[in-house]
Amino acid sequence: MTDTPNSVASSSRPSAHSQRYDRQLRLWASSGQASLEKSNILIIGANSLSSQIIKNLVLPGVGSFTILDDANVDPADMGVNFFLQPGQSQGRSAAQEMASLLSQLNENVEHNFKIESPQALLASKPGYFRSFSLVISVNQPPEFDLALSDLLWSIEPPRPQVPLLKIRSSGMVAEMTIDIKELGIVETHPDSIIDLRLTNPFPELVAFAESFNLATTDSLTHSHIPFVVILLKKLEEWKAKNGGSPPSTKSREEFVTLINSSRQPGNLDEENFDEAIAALGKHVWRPLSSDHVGAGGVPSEIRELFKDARCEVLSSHSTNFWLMVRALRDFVDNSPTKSLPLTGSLPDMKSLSATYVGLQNVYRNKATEDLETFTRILGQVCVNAGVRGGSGAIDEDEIQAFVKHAGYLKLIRGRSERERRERPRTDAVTMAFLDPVNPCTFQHHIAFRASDLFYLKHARYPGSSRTFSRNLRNQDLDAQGRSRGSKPDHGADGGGGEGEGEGDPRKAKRSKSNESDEMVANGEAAGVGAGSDVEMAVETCVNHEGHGEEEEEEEEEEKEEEEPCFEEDVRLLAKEAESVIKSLGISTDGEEMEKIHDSLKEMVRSGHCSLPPTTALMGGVVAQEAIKILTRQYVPADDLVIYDGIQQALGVFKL
Amino acid sequence: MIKIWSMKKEEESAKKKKPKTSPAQLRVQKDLTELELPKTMKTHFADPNDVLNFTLTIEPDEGMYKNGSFTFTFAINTNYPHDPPKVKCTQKIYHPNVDLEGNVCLNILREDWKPVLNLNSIMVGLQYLFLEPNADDPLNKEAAEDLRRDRSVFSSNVKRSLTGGAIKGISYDRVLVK
Amino acid sequence: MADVQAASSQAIAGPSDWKHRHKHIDKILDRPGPSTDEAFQPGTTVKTFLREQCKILVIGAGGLGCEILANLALSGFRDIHIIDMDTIDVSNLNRQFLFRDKDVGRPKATVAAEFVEKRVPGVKVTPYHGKIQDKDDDYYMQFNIVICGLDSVEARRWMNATLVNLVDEENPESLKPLIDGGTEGFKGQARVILPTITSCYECSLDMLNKQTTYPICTIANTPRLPEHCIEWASVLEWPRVFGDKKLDSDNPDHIQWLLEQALARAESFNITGVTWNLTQGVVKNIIPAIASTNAIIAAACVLEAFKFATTSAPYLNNYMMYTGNDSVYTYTFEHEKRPDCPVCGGESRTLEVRKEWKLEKLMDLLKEMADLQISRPSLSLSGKPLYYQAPPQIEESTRPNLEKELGQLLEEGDEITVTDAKLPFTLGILVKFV
Repeated sequence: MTDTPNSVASSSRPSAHSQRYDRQLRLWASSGQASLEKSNILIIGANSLSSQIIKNLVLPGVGSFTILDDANVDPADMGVNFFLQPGQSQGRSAAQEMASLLSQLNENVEHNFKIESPQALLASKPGYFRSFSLVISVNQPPEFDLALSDLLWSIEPPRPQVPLLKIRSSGMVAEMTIDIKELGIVETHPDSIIDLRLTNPFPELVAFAESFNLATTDSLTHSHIPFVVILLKKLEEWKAKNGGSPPSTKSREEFVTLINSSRQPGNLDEENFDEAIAALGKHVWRPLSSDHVGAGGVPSEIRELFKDARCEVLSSHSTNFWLMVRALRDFVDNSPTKSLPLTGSLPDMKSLSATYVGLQNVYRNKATEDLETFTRILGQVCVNAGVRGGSGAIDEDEIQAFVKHAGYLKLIRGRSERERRERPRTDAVTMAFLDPVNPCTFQHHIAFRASDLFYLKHARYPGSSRTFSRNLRNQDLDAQGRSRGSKPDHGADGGGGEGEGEGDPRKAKRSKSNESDEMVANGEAAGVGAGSDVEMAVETCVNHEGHGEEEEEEEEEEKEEEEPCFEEDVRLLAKEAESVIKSLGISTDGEEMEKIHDSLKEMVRSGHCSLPPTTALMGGVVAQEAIKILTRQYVPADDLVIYDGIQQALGVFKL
Repeated sequence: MIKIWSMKKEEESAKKKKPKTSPAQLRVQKDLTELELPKTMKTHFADPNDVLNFTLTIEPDEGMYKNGSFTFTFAINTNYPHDPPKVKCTQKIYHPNVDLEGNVCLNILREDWKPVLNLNSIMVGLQYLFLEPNADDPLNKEAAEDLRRDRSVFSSNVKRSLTGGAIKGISYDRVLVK
Repeated sequence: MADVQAASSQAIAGPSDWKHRHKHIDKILDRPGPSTDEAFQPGTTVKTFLREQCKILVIGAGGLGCEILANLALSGFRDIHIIDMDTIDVSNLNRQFLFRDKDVGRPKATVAAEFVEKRVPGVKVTPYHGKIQDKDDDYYMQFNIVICGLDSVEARRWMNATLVNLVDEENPESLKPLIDGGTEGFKGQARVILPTITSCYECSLDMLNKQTTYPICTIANTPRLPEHCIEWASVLEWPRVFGDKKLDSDNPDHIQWLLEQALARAESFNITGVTWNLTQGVVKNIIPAIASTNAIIAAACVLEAFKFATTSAPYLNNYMMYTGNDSVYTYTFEHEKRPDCPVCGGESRTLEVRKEWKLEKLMDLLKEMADLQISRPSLSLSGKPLYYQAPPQIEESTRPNLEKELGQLLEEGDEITVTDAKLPFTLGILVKFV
């Protein structure tokens, strides 16, 4: 066997690393994996929903994760959280337990926990939150999320921005909001990056086509002329007959007839000719290299990027994305046909091996030439911008990927939480209720917002008692503002063995509800200290039929557990919803109100409970968006995602 | 549990229910019993109770392969008609679209197969290969070259191969009609 | 089968429980929501059914299966059965989170069951390491709901046909919801099949993406892509060199051999891009798979199972398609039933016959069914021809059956499969001797 130098490395058996990640490397390749492995992620809130999110980040191998929460394991959460171990986790720090159990999924991932109140930490050490590549806030209070969003939004270059994902769920519905200031994506993974330049051929391609004869009588040769050559020749023929103007979609039939006239007599099913006709739409009427036939051009989305202020005004702080966009603009300006650099990709087509490889080389050589020109221009752009090292400052692979995807770049420019709240895009809201295809999901956002307002007023979620509500999110209204900044940071190595936590004085000092003065002390709330049997009364379930009675007993000893009145909470929640509806500019006399009212009722019914299928589904969605943001591959949602499990639908809205 | 049975009772077609035969077998029954083969083609079942495996013999009555008798095995798996049947020629024959291992180059056997096609389409396609061998998409490159270069030489090569003769050092199976 | 049922009946009462364990889920079960069906019986009734009576079967313990199992257990299902024929491979570990490095080589079903039982006390997960085809109708009859998390079209078709066939007009318990999930990279779908009522898996077979195949003459003579060279090595060279020896795409030595052949061939045609990775991908037809998509699709499936078991919300009618590569998108729609579907589109009739009647008489009775217009029926029993109109050899070999008495050919309750060129669907004839 003779190996080309090129194939030696890639023909060896895969490493343990690539075997483990094989099924995902086939999606985001080693470049995406490297970005993932460099990332460090902060997850605020140790609960069943966050455990589902973290699981889907640990499995593909993020660099590290840190769980921030100061609460102990909540027995109710342990009933729905797969990354707590009954018989072991009770009484311990939820963040530590989850970190430890989740770390077992992938030993390549560094796992940390920080037992501290997020609110207090945000007040005392805001810089902490800026040190991560991505922050995910799960079931946190709206004021906290807003403050965190403000903080992260205020980061300015050269400090890298920190995207923030905020998630909550209630019964069968959930939502996520994404704060991204700006994300330039190169590898958007379009269906195809093929750019054949048929309507605007470069000289080498013209010369290649000229070496073929459509009138050959040799049937093998004739039936193996690549469709690219057939179309180039036929386009020339057409232009010669029509005063130099190319065919338009209006003259499709005539052009097809012209193509067919060169088929071999008596052979009506030559595949290469079928391919030529099938390629008309993609490569002649709508070629990438031109917005319309014959005019060398650039897709309008890319032209928008050229006009962007960040492309116009460069500095040494400019991101690689903008430096390359600027170089791209200069490249197009300098191109005789005003075209983007060629991708060099060629689809398979009926042809002989040597012909195909020859044609492929024509495209590849031109692409290499364009890449060299681009790199040269980029060097100048970097120098002008004051970037040290010129184009050498940017990785060769990164430049190559950029050039290959130059026609498919995507820029996401998000809004901050504050902008969304203070100036919501009411037109998007109107549209949200008018989806002609899919079930409407937007009403649930209104319910979540109303629920937040309800919580601020009543210190509990609609449909849920105070104890239950407090245990859901790591918030302690009374404790707010109290300084907690003196706690040591356990972030450096939260790893530890599972036994380590026993009697560790650093560990969670309080259970989620035990500091509340207004709470009547009870079995659950009073359970302070690790491994308390009172808190985690493990009892033998004799028979579930007795469950109802059991609850009655509870109510006697736990007064605060009394369930709120359903109708009353619906009424109170509807009142809160009014202001949300008003701020979003929703008309109050349409069908929207019916949907909203149903959603409010469902919100009170579920009372922000964690339903495992919903948290698992959201865990998938959140992790997937995080991965897209971290790898800068594929296109993340922008900026509100709502899941409605009742109707089984996901909606995306830009508020 | 959600009571789905009540929905069933409401269905007008409550009686509808399918017989207990696998979808593949059912399709094969339909395909086989509705075959309309010309007298040039015959199927043979080694075990008449196993309709998923059989052979097809083609004896062209015109063209260059006239007087030849060509046998193909058909093996249908349980994923039919999602998967096409596996078809191979059992004899070593001199044909541009059949290689020496018995592989057949017929688009609907691979890349162009779709479940709406049936056994009849494949059999017709196979027979067509003997009437109009295709030199432009060869499997047996030498045979294809011969056909392209000189049709009459090719034709006499075919005649020789049918009698078990050798062409360019390769001997072929004798496949003359008995 | 008896032992399986005995084993699982012990599973019902969990060994341990704790206060507030069910607090989250009980919120949904204690009160109806605005879209909940009237039949919903909140409180004890629904909880008892979910936690003590409902028996659910999961097919596949892979990417979807792991998610489904864990999620069912957390959702309150306590009697879960799992079938999977595979063993754990290192490439599973990027998403199949119930498995660890030390488990590589062990059966997926067993390891998954052990893990879920450990993590969720009181849940009984009964594994079966083997094929779904090993089990009979009685086995499938014991479940209330079946969820499929498979990557094989063939297995899905089998499971679908089995559940459709299980439906017995006399027995409401025989109608079992089939919830099917599938993923491919960032895409997936979840659907609900109510056998004989809604569109079934077979009805939508034409929606499947076709596996990429290349013309054999291209592979043999005009390779252009590295894939052509790899296919040449596996489709043409392997059988030529090794004869009947089966290619094992999981055997690295086999992949190595193919890679070397493909590389040499690529070299001779100046084709670049043949790598180990691509070779393995082409030969095994590897479909990319990630944890997040599996989580999404599996969760949607489990939520549907939860809805069926509890009546707490309306179920999905009947298809959700999901795409996550460009933003996040779902398309929820009702896939229509195909009247001529070979699995659920047929019709079944009971025919009263006498044992001493000949098969020919039965043929005549079929032809007399005025609404069907049968003229040349072909009959089979369990896949074996009883009488075929064609091809000639089978017509000849089955012709003697026409003269045989039905009592010789059939047993009470047998179902004859009838096809006819004029019949747009398949007819089943249930034999009843009088």
